[in-house]
Amino acid sequence: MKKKNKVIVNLSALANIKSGRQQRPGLRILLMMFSLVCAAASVQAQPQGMLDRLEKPAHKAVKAAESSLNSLALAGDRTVVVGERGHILWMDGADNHWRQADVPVSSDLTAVQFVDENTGWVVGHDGVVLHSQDGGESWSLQLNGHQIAALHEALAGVLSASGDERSAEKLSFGADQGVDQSLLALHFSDANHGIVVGASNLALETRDGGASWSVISHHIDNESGLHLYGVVEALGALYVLGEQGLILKKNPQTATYHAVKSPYRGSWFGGIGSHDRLLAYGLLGNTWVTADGENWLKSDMNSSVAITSASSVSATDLVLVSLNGEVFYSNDGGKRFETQALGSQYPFYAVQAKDSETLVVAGLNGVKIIKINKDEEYP
Amino acid sequence: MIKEAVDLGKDINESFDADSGSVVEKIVFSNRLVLVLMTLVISAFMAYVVVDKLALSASYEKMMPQNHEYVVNYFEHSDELSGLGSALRVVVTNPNGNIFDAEYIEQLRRINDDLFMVPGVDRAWIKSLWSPAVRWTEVTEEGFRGGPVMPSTYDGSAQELEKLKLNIIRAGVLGELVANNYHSSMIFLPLLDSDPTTGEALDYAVLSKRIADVRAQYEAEGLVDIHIVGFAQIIGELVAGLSEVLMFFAVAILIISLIIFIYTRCVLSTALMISCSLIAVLWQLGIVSLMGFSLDPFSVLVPFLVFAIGVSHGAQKMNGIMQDIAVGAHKLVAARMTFRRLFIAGLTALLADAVGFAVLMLFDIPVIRDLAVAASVGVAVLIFTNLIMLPVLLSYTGVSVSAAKRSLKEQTDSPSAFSLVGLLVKLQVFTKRRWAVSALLMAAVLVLIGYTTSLDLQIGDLDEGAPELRPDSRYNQDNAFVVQNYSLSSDQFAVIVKTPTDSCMNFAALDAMDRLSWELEQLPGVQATQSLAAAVKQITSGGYEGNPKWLTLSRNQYVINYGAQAASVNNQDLFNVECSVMPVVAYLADHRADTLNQVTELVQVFADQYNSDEYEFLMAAGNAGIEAATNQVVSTAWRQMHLYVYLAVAALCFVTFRSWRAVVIAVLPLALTSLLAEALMVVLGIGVKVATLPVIALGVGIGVDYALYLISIQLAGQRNGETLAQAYYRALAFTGKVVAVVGVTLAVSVITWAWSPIKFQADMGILLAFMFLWNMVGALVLIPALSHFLMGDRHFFKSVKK
Repeated sequence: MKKKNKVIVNLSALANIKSGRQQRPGLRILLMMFSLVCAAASVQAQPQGMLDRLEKPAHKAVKAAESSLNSLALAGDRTVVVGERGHILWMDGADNHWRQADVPVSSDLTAVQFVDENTGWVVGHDGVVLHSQDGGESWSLQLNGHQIAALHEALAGVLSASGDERSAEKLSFGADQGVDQSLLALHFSDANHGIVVGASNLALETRDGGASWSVISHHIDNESGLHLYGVVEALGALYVLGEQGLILKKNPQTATYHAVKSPYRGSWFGGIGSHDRLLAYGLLGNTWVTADGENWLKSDMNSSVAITSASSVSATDLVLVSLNGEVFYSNDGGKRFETQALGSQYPFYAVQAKDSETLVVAGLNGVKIIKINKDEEYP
Repeated sequence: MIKEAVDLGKDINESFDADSGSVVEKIVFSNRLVLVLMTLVISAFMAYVVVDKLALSASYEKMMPQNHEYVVNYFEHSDELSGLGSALRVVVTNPNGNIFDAEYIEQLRRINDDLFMVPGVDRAWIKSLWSPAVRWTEVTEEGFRGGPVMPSTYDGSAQELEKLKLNIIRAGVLGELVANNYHSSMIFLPLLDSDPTTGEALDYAVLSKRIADVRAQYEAEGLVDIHIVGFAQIIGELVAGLSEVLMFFAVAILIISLIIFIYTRCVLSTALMISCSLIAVLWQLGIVSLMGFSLDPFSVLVPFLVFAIGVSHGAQKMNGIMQDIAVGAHKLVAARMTFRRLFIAGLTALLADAVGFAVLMLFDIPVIRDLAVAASVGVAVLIFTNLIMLPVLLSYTGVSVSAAKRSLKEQTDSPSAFSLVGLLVKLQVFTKRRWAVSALLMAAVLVLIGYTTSLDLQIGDLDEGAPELRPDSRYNQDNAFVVQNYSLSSDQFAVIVKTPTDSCMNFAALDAMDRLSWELEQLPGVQATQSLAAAVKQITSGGYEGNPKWLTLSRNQYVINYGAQAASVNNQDLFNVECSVMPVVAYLADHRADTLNQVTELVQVFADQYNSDEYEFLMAAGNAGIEAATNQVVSTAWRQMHLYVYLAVAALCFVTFRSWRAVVIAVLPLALTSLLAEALMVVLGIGVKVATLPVIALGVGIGVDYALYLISIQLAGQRNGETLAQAYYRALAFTGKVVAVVGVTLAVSVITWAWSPIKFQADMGILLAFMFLWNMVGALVLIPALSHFLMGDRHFFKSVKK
């Protein structure tokens, strides 16, 4: 595996020289092809050892539904869950029967979204973007870390030539990361337009359903390169949430993201939005809600550990889950949350309301279905 | 007939030529007094040696197959795999509530300190709530916070107990060091392989005694209950139960003496015979002690086996002399005649026994080798005590004439149908075609049943806990308690991941190790796994404020290094100082052979596929790893052992009989017994393991005794021109009845073991009883039936004509 890394480094160096000399428009594609060829070559040049996570299809595991799972999404009546080791599973209805999808990589996956019952994307570590057109049963790789590095390299060249050395330098840093690109959240507003974000201000967007990607990190007002953990459409705008209280709002005219005032200095783990509210959640039970994007209210709830995920049950009703395996329920748009009585005590990482009574939750020890209990309070 | 016989006896005495007989016989019988004195002196010496030197001991290392790949790998890295050797888990329960009780915590501290002082405990690696190395960490907005689980400010106040409770949750030791229900906590005691003061292998008998003292002391105080599990504890319980095992031996010896007496009605000769067998046991124990061996819970069976074999031979000698005395022979003449007739058969049989035990040396496991040596020595001693000394002693004492007459009466042409011989001689019908055919058909059916059943024979343990002990024994109850209240089992299988020096933190190695953990976790028998990779992932996520999306193995070397260093603070067992060895530990649901096979197969395939210059997967460490190695060794040697035992027995039979036909007749019934014994093991749920091996070897050994005594008489008769029916009749009446008596006697004596509190002994009792009985039945029925086809009259008349 070491050998293979070396090959990649050499190729990037070669690409570097090329990009320095001549900045052809087709370079990006050329570089992509390079990295693909290089990946293919490394498979053959490696007689021993194990394939890299990016090259090894996900292991169809007996206990995949009990593995650490990070994110849930609905695709029509189907629920899709993604997590460690390239695990993607789906369930039709609410029969708790999970089937594992064919996934070409075994990288750890961090987030999933479907825009309709067939079309969805998944992001993860090693810079992977996976795409499905059959409701999550099969997936193809649209982007990987090598390609992301190459895209950074190319863009750095362009910016450097146009005199923006500061941005170019930052993008070069992104290129030096090589395959180590962590995508942690995504948002698609329709089947063509989407943004994926991740570690150290990593951000890319597509306008053609993932066929091509462009780096947009330099359009984000995030000087210290904080990690980006969530993308939320709320109050008619697009927000990006991240480390150390970072809240960014997209300006649709300039397509740039500007930091806005945050009510909390700790890290946000994500957020959930609607036309009339934005709710952000994060460390130490911090849950804040705003109706105008400026004035924030701290939710009234009994929690001391990080909130990891939220889901809308109805226009007014919301659920949250925490690292303590708690489920919180609000019927007033997030102003006040009641703790739901629960038998399980493993950390929850994701929640998805299936209908007004059924929740699907995922976490460290897998995915399961629980019933909402609106009346009872946790003792 | 009686009159004739008496005349014959007179003839014998008159015509007996003192110069006749073999050289051995002449030497023996012309130096009788010297031999007796010599025996007395040696016995006195051996008694002194036994009292002075004989020790009970048991060491873990001696139970490992020394040259098996897994064990070699383990030994090579054992210094770097602390906590994966043998270990004891001492669970301290508060019967009056949960562990957040100042009185309980204080008791725990005292127990912890006392156990710390027990020699043989690897002190640096003890883990309990009182160990400074057991730490908690927490992620906050500022980063990590942490400290020992037991607050440094602990003073027994409610406030500090509350802190302790919080730390337990933060440290994630719930289910590991603290019971899931908070009613008990665990002291994890890793054990050294050797005693640091003496350098010798750690003696579990001594160790478990020390631990038992600590347990007794604190349970007597009444504030806590203590449960102990671990291999050393099983050995401890077996050793502690030894007095009961010995009591059952004593009962067996008593039963044997009684039955032999009822059969012979002669106190003196019975006493002599039992004494000679006991002297053999004494000598065996003495010689073995002189050789530096000690008894362990498995070889403790050997003295009894030596005694049983001794009885079998002694009874034959006594019977021979009795018959000669009955016909009027002088006791010296009778002794010499018997010696002459039976010495070779006896010698061959004992040599066969010795060989049967000696092949156990094929097993690459020191305790079995010791056992093989001990048993072979015992059998060799029997050649002297029961084949030579017993006839010599009988030549002085003779047997009671009335008893002898009684025994002769049974040999008449028309014995009472209700006497033993009367019943036995009916067996001669098996020399006739119709009966022979039906007996052989019956045997064929049994072979079929035995074979199909024995296909399910398993290697190793078939049950949870310790199968050597009763399911309701204290140990197995303790084991069930721990399984029920703790998440991590005590059955650990460790895969050793090896990298070049300073490369254990390479992404490739960690990623490969992480994938192995995951594949292992897919197995139904694996509860959980633990590895550096998993720890690094956790720390990585922790480093990013506990964000689950960072629960990943980063490719960034700085992130990995930080994770590994931070992880090693909480758990020093994750990698070695050179950063070249790291274990993947699988916690197994149990240590049944099936479970172990699943694991070894998976790891082997994984290693074959992925081993490279950068990382290598080696098996194995942990108690389950060693047991897997033992199972593999036992499994291969099992068939080998049978092959060699039978080859040796066949060779010895051939030397004795000079007829391959007789060899076949002697060996086939034995093979049937071996097969049926395997089937019986399946039915009883006993696996092939270290403890069962000597029984199987003995089964063949004692079986061949019967065949040798029967066939040698039968063959002599046939060679003198008797028909098969006549010859077999004579064999039945002479040695056959003793075979029957001995078979029943030994079976009855060992069947009492079925009530032993030690399940291991109970299983052995049932198996031995079956083999003693079935070998007897097989010999008495199948020998005539096989003879009909292989050594029938036609065969002999033909050769006589020649």
